[in-house]
Amino acid sequence: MSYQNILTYLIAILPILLIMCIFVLPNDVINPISYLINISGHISIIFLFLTLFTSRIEILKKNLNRKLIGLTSFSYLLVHVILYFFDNNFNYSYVKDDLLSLKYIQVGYIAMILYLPLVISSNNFIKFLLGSLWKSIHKTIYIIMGLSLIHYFLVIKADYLIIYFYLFLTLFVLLKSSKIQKHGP
Amino acid sequence: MRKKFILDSENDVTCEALFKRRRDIIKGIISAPFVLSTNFSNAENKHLIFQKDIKYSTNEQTNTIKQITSYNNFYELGSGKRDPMINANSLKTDNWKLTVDGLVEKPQTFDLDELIKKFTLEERIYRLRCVEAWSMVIPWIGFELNKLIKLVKPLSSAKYISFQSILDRENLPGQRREILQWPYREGLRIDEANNPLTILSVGLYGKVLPNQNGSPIRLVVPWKYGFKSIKSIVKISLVSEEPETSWNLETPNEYGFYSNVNPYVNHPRWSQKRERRIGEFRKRDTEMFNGYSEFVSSLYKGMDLKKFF
Repeated sequence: MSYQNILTYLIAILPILLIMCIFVLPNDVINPISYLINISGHISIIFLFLTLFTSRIEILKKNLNRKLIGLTSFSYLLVHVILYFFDNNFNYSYVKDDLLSLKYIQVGYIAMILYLPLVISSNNFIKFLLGSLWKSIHKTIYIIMGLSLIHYFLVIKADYLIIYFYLFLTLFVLLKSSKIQKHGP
Repeated sequence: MRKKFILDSENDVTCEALFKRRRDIIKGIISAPFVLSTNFSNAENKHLIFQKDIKYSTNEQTNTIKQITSYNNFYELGSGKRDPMINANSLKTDNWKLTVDGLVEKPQTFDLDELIKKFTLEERIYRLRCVEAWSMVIPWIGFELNKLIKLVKPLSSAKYISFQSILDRENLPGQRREILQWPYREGLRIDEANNPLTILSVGLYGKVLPNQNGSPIRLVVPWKYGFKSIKSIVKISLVSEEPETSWNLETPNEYGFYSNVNPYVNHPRWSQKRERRIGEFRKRDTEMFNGYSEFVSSLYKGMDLKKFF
């Protein structure tokens, strides 16, 4: 395994270690399910940003495996979704209720579905089969990014501080994007 | 040679109490950079004298003091759930004054300690349902709001009652940013305020209210979502028109003036059909008026509660 992969794996499990610390230390989490849903969503978004940064920042490009970071983001998204189902007692009608009535849930589902083709086509063989089409498919990452932020924005009650932080990161991605067009993503 | 292994004196033996706490001590050392110890500040030793109520109190299992004091929505002390506990000391409650004015015969500013002496305190064990779809059961200590209203002799033109929380931008970290329009404001219709379920609370679990729970005096309206139960009140006014309320000012289409717990009216962010009782594994169904229908449904006879949400 290359050192890039090892480093990426380490970064990928870092949040799990931090969360374990929070739970093991006497820092009681009073509403653990809600806490974990919230934090896994944030981690997924942060890794999504990291994927985009890896294409744009030389030092990250050299030392990290971008594909793995993308898959990490998706893995945390899966955790996020499974916990959400758990929060609804794995009850189909509860989940259906939410899907029909809550906008942020709808946006979340769309983002998750758009993520699937990216995950499936991350396989090297499929990537080879797809040829130049692969690149266009993977451009949907920008749409997923946008939808994730809208999803989070719709959940906030009043304090928009974290969304400002994410918007700052987005701005950074956009500013760095001109270079990418020259060299490919 | 053997002597080396014999302890010189009793002092060399780890004292038993210390030994028993060894895990806590180690935990404490490891976690020192992360932990901000639970902050009960002023509540430490101030026991209250009170009567137990059976008419309105639920016999459900109450949440622990730890749950009640470290999972709070009190934006003046920060918008995170743990922030109010962490920043509890920023709320200064010494020499608290409560002004009651507006459409009353006897507008007055009370010294809080004096005011509390006028009433018999009682324990009310109420369910609290947050608009964020979680709930707790809390043993409040307080007195019925209608007793205070009687004291100031309301005029017949008083149809509503408005409440205002403390404004202290210097000390309260949450008020340094306009997360909400400060000070926090809430209101009730006068008949809601006079309902015997509505109390002003000054304590919980037999002691003075911890700061993060809205010390030194807060409203508790158990059939409405938690944000109606305004904390750290400095002013109460009886008025003729429906008063402004903080969350309604922030997002009027989401938070109505009434904000009665109602599983049939969804909030755009949370389904209100169900709730998680803090500490429970599975979600439970939310009850109309948070289970207080027998006491309050008559207040809303003939009203379309989908319109007046």
